[in-house]
Amino acid sequence: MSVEAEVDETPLLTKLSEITHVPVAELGDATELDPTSWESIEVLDIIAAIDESYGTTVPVQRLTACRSLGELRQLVRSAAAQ
Amino acid sequence: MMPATKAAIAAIASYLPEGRLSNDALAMELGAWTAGDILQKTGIAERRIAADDECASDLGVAAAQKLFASCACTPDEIDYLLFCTQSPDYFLPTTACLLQDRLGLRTSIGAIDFNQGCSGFVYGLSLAKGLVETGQARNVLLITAETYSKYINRRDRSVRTLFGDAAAATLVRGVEADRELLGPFVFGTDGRGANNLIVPTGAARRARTPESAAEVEEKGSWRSQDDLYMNGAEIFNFTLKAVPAAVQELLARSGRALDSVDHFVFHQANKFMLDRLRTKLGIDPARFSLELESCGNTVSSTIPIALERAALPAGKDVMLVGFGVGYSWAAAMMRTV
Repeated sequence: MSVEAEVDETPLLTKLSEITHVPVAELGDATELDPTSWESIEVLDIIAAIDESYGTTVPVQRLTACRSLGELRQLVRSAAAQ
Repeated sequence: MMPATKAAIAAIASYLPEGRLSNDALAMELGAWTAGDILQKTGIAERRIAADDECASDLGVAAAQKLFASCACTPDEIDYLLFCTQSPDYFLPTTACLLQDRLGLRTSIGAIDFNQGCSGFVYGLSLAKGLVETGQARNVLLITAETYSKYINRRDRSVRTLFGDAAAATLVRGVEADRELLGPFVFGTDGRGANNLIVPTGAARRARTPESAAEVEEKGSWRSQDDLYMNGAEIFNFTLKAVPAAVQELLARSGRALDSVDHFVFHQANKFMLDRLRTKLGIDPARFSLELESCGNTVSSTIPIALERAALPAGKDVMLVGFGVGYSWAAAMMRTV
């Protein structure tokens, strides 16, 4: 089964919506992110949401380097595929 | 299985120092968070803090004296002392030697320190089991004690809100039984995570200097190279990978299903992490200890404190999982006696 088929992004998108104040329906690959400005607890929330959505973890340095949802998705999918 | 000598946890007594650090006090000092914020984020309302002149050995002595006062055993009956700490009184001698003297234990016992953090209790149980079941000892006193507060910068909210000082004394005794009462065990080590929870200076690798004492700010927390540093996000990442895998491996090794385990006692790191692990593993809250509100994360003593407070009746199968600094982790099954 492919990674895509197993993914439910709802936890990740819900948490990102809370942090960015962008409605879930408006979140897309082009949505800009600035994880370096997040509170430490928000980073933990996103790590938990990535784990819940994709069943994987990503290095924190690479997570905080993402500048868009598209970059984050690419990072997470790459980790999940390994 | 024919009856044979099997190691079992016979008694536990814990000790918390008198000093208290409440969320109200932290909120006043640290500013950014309210007492309610801290409770919600960590699950901790209060930590107990050792006095300036109170060391891990002092906490350990108090815990062991409580154990002896409970009539679980006498000091004369102890054959071996295992002392787990990362905040020893001295570089040398071994703190266990000091404890032998202060507790009035026989001079014919074995006594060693071992340096482990949050996995230390489970590692100590494995060492105790080995000593008991190979006939080297009948009664092993396992003491875990930490004073991490001495390593923490007062202005570092990332760790000051989490850690508390404590000690626990656990009696591991050989009893005649026709089944395992402690074990099997699963162990894990990954030193690539060493820098994510560390006191960088003060030992042989890096001396303390005026430069290392310089404090820097990161996301509202201040610390120097002489202070405890924790990369909480990477520790969380590690935990999400290592702990569920260890649980599954232990279940496989013990031939069990998750539902057949009566109770789970994980290292009490913080509520956020424990909630995520419990949910991920599909364990219902009633069978899962959450015991850190009144004492915080006490490192190697969290599991024995939670076990003591759970007060489980005899005959219960319990899974213990320790994980953290190192990285180091260990899981074990135990049956209450």
